[in-house]
Order: sequence, then structure tokens, then C-alpha cells
Amino acid sequence: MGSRTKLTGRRLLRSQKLARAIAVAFAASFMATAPTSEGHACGYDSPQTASQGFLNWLYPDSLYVVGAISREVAAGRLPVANFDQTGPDLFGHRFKLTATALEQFGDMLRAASPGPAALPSVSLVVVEPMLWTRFDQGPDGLRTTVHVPGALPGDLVLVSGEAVITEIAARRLTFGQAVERGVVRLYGTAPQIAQFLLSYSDVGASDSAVETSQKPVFSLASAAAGSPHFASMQSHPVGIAPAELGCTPDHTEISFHEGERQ
Amino acid sequence: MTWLKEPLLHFAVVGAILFGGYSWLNDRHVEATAAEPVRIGEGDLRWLKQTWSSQWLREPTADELKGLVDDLLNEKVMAREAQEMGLEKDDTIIRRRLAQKLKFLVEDTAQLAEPTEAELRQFYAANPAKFETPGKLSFRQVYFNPEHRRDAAADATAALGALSANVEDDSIEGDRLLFGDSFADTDEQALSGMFGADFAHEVVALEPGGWRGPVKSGYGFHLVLVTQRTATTPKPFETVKDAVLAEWRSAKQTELSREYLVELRNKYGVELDDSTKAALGPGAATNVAAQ
Amino acid sequence: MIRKPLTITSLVLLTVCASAVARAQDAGTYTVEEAGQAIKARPYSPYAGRNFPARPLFGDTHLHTALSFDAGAAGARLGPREAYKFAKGEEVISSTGQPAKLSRPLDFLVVADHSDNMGWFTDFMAGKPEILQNAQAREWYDMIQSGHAGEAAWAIVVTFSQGKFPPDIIYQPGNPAYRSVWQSIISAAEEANDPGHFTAFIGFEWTSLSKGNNLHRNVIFRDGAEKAGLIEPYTTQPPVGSNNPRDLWKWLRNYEDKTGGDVLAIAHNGNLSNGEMFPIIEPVTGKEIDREYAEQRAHWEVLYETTQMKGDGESHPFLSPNDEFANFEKWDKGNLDLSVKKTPDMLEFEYTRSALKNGLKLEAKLGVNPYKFGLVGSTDSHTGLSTADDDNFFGKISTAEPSPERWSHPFMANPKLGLKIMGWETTASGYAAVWAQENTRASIFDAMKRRETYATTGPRMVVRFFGGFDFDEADANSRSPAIAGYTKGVPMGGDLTQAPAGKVPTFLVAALKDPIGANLDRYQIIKGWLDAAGEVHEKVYDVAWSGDRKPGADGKLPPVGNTVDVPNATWTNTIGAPELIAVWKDPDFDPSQRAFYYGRVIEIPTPRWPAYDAKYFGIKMSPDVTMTTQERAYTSPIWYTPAG
Repeated sequence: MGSRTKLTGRRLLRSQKLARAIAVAFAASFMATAPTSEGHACGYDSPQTASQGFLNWLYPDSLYVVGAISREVAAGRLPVANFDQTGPDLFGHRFKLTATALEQFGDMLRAASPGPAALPSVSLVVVEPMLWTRFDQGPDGLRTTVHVPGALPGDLVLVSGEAVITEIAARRLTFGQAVERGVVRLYGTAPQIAQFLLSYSDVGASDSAVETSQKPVFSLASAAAGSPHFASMQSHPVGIAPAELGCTPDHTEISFHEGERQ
Repeated sequence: MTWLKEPLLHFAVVGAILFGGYSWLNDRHVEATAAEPVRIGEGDLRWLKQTWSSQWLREPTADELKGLVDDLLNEKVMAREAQEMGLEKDDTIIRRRLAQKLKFLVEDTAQLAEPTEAELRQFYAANPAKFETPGKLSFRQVYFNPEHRRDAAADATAALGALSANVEDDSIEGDRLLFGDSFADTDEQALSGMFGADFAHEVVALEPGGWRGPVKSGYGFHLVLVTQRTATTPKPFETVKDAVLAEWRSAKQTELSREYLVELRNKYGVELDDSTKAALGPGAATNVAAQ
Repeated sequence: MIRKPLTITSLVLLTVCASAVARAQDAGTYTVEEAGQAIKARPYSPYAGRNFPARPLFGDTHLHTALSFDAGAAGARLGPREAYKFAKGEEVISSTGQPAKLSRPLDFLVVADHSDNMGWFTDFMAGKPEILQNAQAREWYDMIQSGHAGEAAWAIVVTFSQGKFPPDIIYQPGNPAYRSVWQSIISAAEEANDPGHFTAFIGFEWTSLSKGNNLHRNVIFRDGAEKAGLIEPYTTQPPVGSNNPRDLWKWLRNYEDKTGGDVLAIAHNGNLSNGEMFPIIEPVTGKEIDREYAEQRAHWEVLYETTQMKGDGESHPFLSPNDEFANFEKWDKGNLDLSVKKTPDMLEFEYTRSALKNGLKLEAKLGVNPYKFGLVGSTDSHTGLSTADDDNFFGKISTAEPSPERWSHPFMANPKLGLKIMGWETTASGYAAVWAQENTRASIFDAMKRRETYATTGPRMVVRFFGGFDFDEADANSRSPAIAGYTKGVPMGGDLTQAPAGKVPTFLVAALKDPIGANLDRYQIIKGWLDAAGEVHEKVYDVAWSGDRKPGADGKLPPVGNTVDVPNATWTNTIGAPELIAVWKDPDFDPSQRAFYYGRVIEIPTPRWPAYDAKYFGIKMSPDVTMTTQERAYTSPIWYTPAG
């Protein structure tokens, strides 16, 4: 119990710092365009748009999570509450919620971790605010650092959205389900991805006991079977031919989702 | 505002330090590798000239050629330097770039491949849908406008009875339609643009001779007399040879890339440990290559 | 190393305007005399040998792909090939992983990527060594490698916006990588071009931005690879390029002289130019525009993109206070980057209608009308997806593709000036309709040159507009009004000269709703004229409408009504009419006064794209979000010019 209290206290402290950091991050995204004198701005570029756009290239097709989240919201499988904003979010309320969910997600990863060495360094970005969080091995177990500049080399990268993490944190969605539905995408080496899925697919299950017990094997086959519509949509030939443009990166090695493109 | 600039400043400083370090490293490497010259031979020259001519439809001038050689030299020394620096080893972007370059090579091979006439003809025969002229339709229509009639569909049906007996009969006055009453050599896509997809679909299926309908469109009901219909026909091979070649190459390219990747995997061997295999699902290692 | 293969600047100096004058006068418009000759030559059958266009072709003259610097930086991954595929009606997966398909194919498309730094972004992200050898690029690259991709992204965008991009790696003519990007755009168009079915034009956007003021032009080639491949696109960054439209015109002249080809330019978004799009005082020189400016502009810029995603540019309530339809998709907060606030005195020089009016004034003074342009709409989409339908809107940029919250994102903002444009304010608009005989590059281009075009905000309604001196009621009641239209008058974009004694301009107007769209509310004619005192005026006439509505005491027709069910994002065609047709005679004609007339067709109210979003995602939006719209079409004008 004692350690639990300590943890909560520390989390609170961290949350305050966080809130400040996030307020700044958010203000930055609202600042949008720095007025330019001469040049070629198309006006709408903001730091947020640019980093979202970059993400789609650095982690090829990572913005597919945006489409997947849209589809899940429309299908009623992700709550609309997160998006039902009819007024401005002046006090960063939404960001506090997101940050709390990220902390909670970190705690769940820690609880599900099979052993101290089993967690690779993981960076997670929620795409709406482009907020990065890093999970790595600290002196006393897994450490969650919300609001880092980005992923470090060698990190396993998870791309997702606010509503998704919130749902996992609230134990209404498992990480494995989120991956199946395309609302989380993973980027790293195949063993990194496999290892992570093996260990953490059940994070978010309503029975917390599952997190420490035997884990069923997650497989691509089950992903397809569990969501036929999704599977058919994702396997649609997109027809982009990077080589024809001579400019898009080849991503054979790094994307877990590579088969979706042709 | 100052806080907005801070990160930029910060990174400019970091950048400057990195740049400094980079230049220093760079210099050292230049010395270390100066002994091994980068060569440009006659083959390179011919290749440069060819590429140029295919783009500009003329031979490069002496000055231009010199420029091309300069560019090529730069590229080569830079690539050598990058290798020397081991840039490709721990850098995903460089690694991807190298993989991409290899991919281009494979694809270029497909682009340069010259199929035999027989191969092309075979490809043409196997993919008829890619090389056909869509069917065309000439027809007349009589329009029944629901805005002006209590029951346009019923009026159309009644009029059809009167018209059917004689296909030359054009005594039935329908309502005026802005597109007109007579259409020559229209294809399904154009029809669909004018009347809507359902109408187009129905009308292209009508046999010539005799009034038919009523057919529903976005505007109301129509009686339709198809006067002439040409079926969808394959374009003669000779006239689409270039297109066949392009399609063949693109198919070949996909095929070659796939084969090449399989070969590469065989050459180097791919090993996934058991947990990776389990996590990626059955057949993962072989499937990737097939995609 | 040899530099610039094309010594554009030196060649353009040789350009003289004599030939331009001849061409400006000979822009291929119909005159009544020519039309009269056509009627005599007509065989017995009204359809035999008929060579006027039977149906309008719909397309987009302004689409960006991943090769545009800003589009790529905003996450667009679809290139020209996917863009053409999508326009042809095929399904593609958007950059955010969403399947996308048009309700029906377009007839033509121009991929018009920004010429400045075209293809750079995608090459940089691919780690092209030629780029990474530059210290600045290396710095950005290292930022990305060390986990600061976000900062790198913003640094790159800002550096480019401020024109501080490293000159040795910027993609512009002279850089071999730039040439290969251009070649890839050309080959995508060549492959997609399918004469008779689908036209893929070669083009680019010359993105002139002077102090944040939008002076952009899309450049469209009539020609294929053999000519367009001989040049590289004109850019704006000196010394290779320029921000001055006059330099663009010289470049266009140089292209035609050098290749024997044909090219035209279409300006857009005057509404974001802060008074510089249709100047009377030329911004560069500070002097009144001269005859040469007028000639060049009239020659090269025969069309204007009057409606698109960044707002509608027909007119503004401040300029047209008596026009209740002028307050439409209005973007009047500032210039393109919101760096300077808009003031009312700027409006006159940035909207279509006022420009047409000032054109009459300038013509009286200079002998040439610089603003004698026809109208088109286009999307300016930066997603590779040319979508202008409200129920199928993929947004302006890839990060604004369908999502539950795209409506609530600021599209752009400048807090210093308190300016902000919200995501929901972007417009699902528009397309270009062209009355071309055939679906080929040549036929569509030629129709554009004679301005036989109209703009739509998305729906594919059919709009006819003919002017002459002899139209009467019978022509409106005839089976094929177009035959009367072409034989007794001139189509949209044409000219009427000195009225015969006692005659008054008459107009045969007709509109047919989109076969899968909403009914029509009304067809209006907008007239602008120059009086004897040198003042310009405008008036809107209702000339055909649905139902038995009667104009009120103020002369205004009552509204058509509204069937939109916003929560369900539906409407019914129980009001309005599928077809409108009439002959209208100018009741206020003075044969000695210059005038123009253009048609405006208004649909009944339908749901605007946020309504479809709210319904699809099951979300609520704030009350200030506009949920309904009245889509419309604007025809190219017909000008009346008295003799002498």
C-alpha cells in the first residue's frame, strides 16, 4: 500500500509538471504560423501539421491510424466524447486527461512486464497533439516520461491516438485489439515488434489478472479474422508506386504494416 | 514569443556543433582515402550521354557533358565517403536509401528489358480489358418530366405502346431535355455523366431497334431507341503496342522485384527466433516476400 | 559545372509584345458574325456536322500531390499517378489510410504542384545523398535521427517559408534532381492521358507570394512530353525565378517561342491577395498598370479560378451590398499566411466581379481589358485527391482528411493579429466545367482559350449561357436550345459588339441540375457596366427560377425554402426545379456603354460538409459552424463592347 501511495504522489507531481509542459506545447500548436515576409508559405503550416506530416514519411503510413480511428469512431467502437468539443479547450483539460491516460498506460505496461529486461525502449506518439511519451527502464522499473521531443534511435515506435490510449487506460480496449483495428501501429525491427506484442497484447483487458498470466499468442491471422472488413480494406491495392516517383523511402525493414501497400 | 524561438535557436546551436564535428571528421577521411581514385570511364560517358539525349532530344554540348561528369564524380565520391564513414550501418534512412537504390536497379532492369513480339502479344491476349475500345451507342430518347406530369412513368409507358409499332415514328412529343433528344457515339462514361450511372448501365445493355423503357434517370423517365451500337472491341495490337509495352514492363517490374527479394532471402537466409515467428503468425517469413 | 541549361532570363528579354497583342485580340472567341456563317453552312439535319459541344466536361485544374513541398510536409503520400487514377474514378487509399473514390470520374485533371522546391521534400525524406551533403540539410537530418523530428519539420517549413532555403540544394531549374522530378510528373500525365475519355494535362503552379499576398498562377500546357519536356517549371525564388507576374508572362512567351507549343495561366485566390490580384496600381512599380501589362495579362490569363477550398471569390458583401448571395464561403480575414489583416479598401482588387468591372474601366483607358477572363473552379487540394463534393470531402491537406475533429482544428492563425480560420471554414469546392467538343488536351485547352467555361462549387450542373441580339421566347421553348444558342448568338466567354440600331442584348440561359444532385433555385444574370462618367455599376437580375414565386416589392425573389435535415445530413428535391430555361432581354441597356454579363446558377440548400461529418462520426459541433450551403455555378461573362 505504501508504495502505491508513493506512486500516486509522484504521479501527481509529475502531472503538474506535465500540465505546464503540455500547456506550452499546446500554446505552440495554436500559435500556428509565424508571419513570414517573403517566401512560399502556404499559410496553414503549423508546427503540429508539419510534425504530423513528417510522421507519415518517417514511419511510413503511420497516419493510417487517423483513418482507422475515424472509422472506429464512426462505427461506435471508440467513444465520441473525446472529440465532442464545442468550446475551446482553454485550460488544457483535454491534455491533462491524455497525459493521465499515458501515465496509466505506462503503469499497465509495467504491471504486464514479464521481467525487468523484457521491455525494450518504447516511444509512443499520440497523433492529434503530436505528443511523444517514452517508456524505458528506470532505476526502479519502467519509467514513463510524457512529453519528450521524439523517439530515440533504436526505440520501438508506437503510433496511436488520444482516444485509443484513453480507452486502453480505462481497460475498455486491449492493446492487441487496438493493433488489430489499426488504431495503433508499430515501427521497429521484427523481433522488437514481436516481443512487444507477445508481452503486452493483453494490456487493457478488463481482468487485470490476465496481464500477469499466460498470454495468448497474437497473430496476424487472428487480426484478419477478427475484423474482416478491416482486413479487406487494409489489403486493398493502394497503387502507390514509390519507385515511379523516385522519392519515397523503401521501408521493407521497419514497418510492421508493410504488407498493406503494394 | 521568445519561447517559440528558443527551440529553434537551441537546435541551431546543436546543429552547428554537429556540423563542426562532421566537417572535422570529413576532412580526416578525405586525407585517409585520397589514395583510391574514383574512376570515370568510357562506359560512364556513354551512359551519361544517353540519359541526356533521351531527356533533351539532342546530344549534350561539351560544356554540358563536363557538367554531367562533374555531377557524377560528386555523386560517386560522396557515396564512397558515406560508406567510409559507415553511415549506412546505423542509420535507418541511409539503410532505406540503399535498399531503395537496389530496388531502382531492379526496376530499371525491367524498364530496359526488351520483350519479344511474341511475349508482348501473349501479354496483350492475356489482359484484354486493358486494351479495348469501350462500346459506343447512338440513340434517341423521349423524356417525361415528373415536374410537368402527374405520373411521368405511366405517361411513358402509355406512349411506349403507341411508339413500338413503328420505330420510325417520332410523333410522340415528350418533354424537352437540355441535352437534346438524339445522341451519337456516346460511351457509358459520358452517358453516366449526363444521366446518372443507373441510366447509363441500363441503356448500354439495350438492343438496337425498337423503343424501350421507361428508363429512369436523374431527371425523370425516358423512352429510348438505340439506333446503333458498337460492342466493346479489343484495340488492334499494332495500335496499342506502346501501351502494351508499358503495361508489360510494369508487370515485369513487379514480378522481377518479387523474384529478386526471394532470391536475396535465399542468398542471405532469414532467421526469426521462435517468439518472433509466433508473434508474426504462421508463414510470416515467406509471405512478406510474396507481397 | 555548367549551370542552367535554359538561359530563360536572357531569352525573355528578347520578348516583344507585338505578337502578344495580335494574339490577345484573337483569343478565339465567337462573334455573332462567325456564328451567322455557321448557320448558313448547316445541312438539313440539325445534328449532322454539328460541331458545337454537346456536354460539358468536368475537371480540376489545380491539384497538388506529395511532390508539392507543403503537401508532402503535411503528410500527403499520393503522387501524380495516384492522383490521375483517382480522378479517373478508381478507388485509392488516401494518405491517412482511408479508401477514397469519386462519385463518378472526372473528365480531366491538371496536377499542378508548386514549382518551388518541387519534389525536394520527398527526396529529403528518402535520404538522397545529394541533399544530405549540405550542412543545413544534414543538421535537419541529424535532428530527425536524434529524436527531434517535430522540430526538424518545423525548422524546414519555416526556412522555406522565409526564402532562406540553402540555394545549392533547393529544387529549381538547373538542379538535375529537379529535372527528374519534372520528368516524372510529365510521364505520369502522359500515361494517364487517354484521348476521348480522360485528359491528363501537364502543368505546375507558380506560387508567387509577395509579403504573404497570394499571387499564385497555375500553368497548363496544351502540349505533351515532347514540348513540355524541353523546359523546366518557372519558379519564384530569385535569381532563377521571380515573384513578378510580368516575369511569368515572359517565361510563358519564351516557352511558346522555343517549343512552338501553347500554354496558359490561371490565377487563383485573389481573396487572399490583400488587394494585389487585380490591381489598378501595379504593386511592383507603384504606378498605374500600363498597356503592356494589360495586353500580357489578357493574353496569358484567359481564365480565373473563382472558387476553391480557400473560399469563394465571386463577390463580397462589402462590394455587393444588395446581393444576398454574395456572402458565400467568405475568407476575408487577411492574406494567405494571415500576416497582414484585410481592410475593406483591398476588396475591390481581389474579387471577380469588381475585377471585371475595373477591367471595363481600364479597357476604356488603355484600349485593352486586362481582366477579360472566363471562370473556372478547382480544388487546390493538397492530398492528391480531387474532391469537391460535400458528402465526399477529403479536405485541403492530408492531416485534414476525414476525422472526427478536423472541423475543430485551426486551419491557420495569427494570434498576434487575432486572426484565425477554422478547419470547418474550408470549402468543399470546386470544379471547372469546359464546353469542349472532345475530351482531348487540344479541345479542352482551346475551349479554355475561348473562355467557354464555367465554375461550379462541386455539383456537376449543366449550364448554358448565350448572348445575341435576336433571341426570343421560342428559342427557350425549342427542343434543342443549344442550336439556337450557337447559331443566333455567342456562348459564354464570347463578345457582342456594337448593337444594331434598336436592338438590345438578349440572353438564352439554361441550366440542368446535376443528375445525382440537388434541384435548382434560380438562374441569375449579373451585369456590370461603365457609365458615361467613367463609373462602374453592377446589378443582379433573377431570370429563371423554380415554382411560382413572385418577386417582392423590392424586386427580389423570395428564398426557395430549405429542406435540409442537418442532424441526418439529408435534403429532398421537393423544392426547386431540375431545369431552368429562359430568354432574358436587358431592360437597362445603353448601346454606348461597355458592359459584361455572366450567369449564376444557385442550387437549393443542401448540407455542407461539416453536417456530413457530424452525422457520420456522431459528433456535435459548435453553433457557429455553417451546416448548410447553396452550391452554385458561375459562367464566364459575355462582354458587350460598343464600336469606336
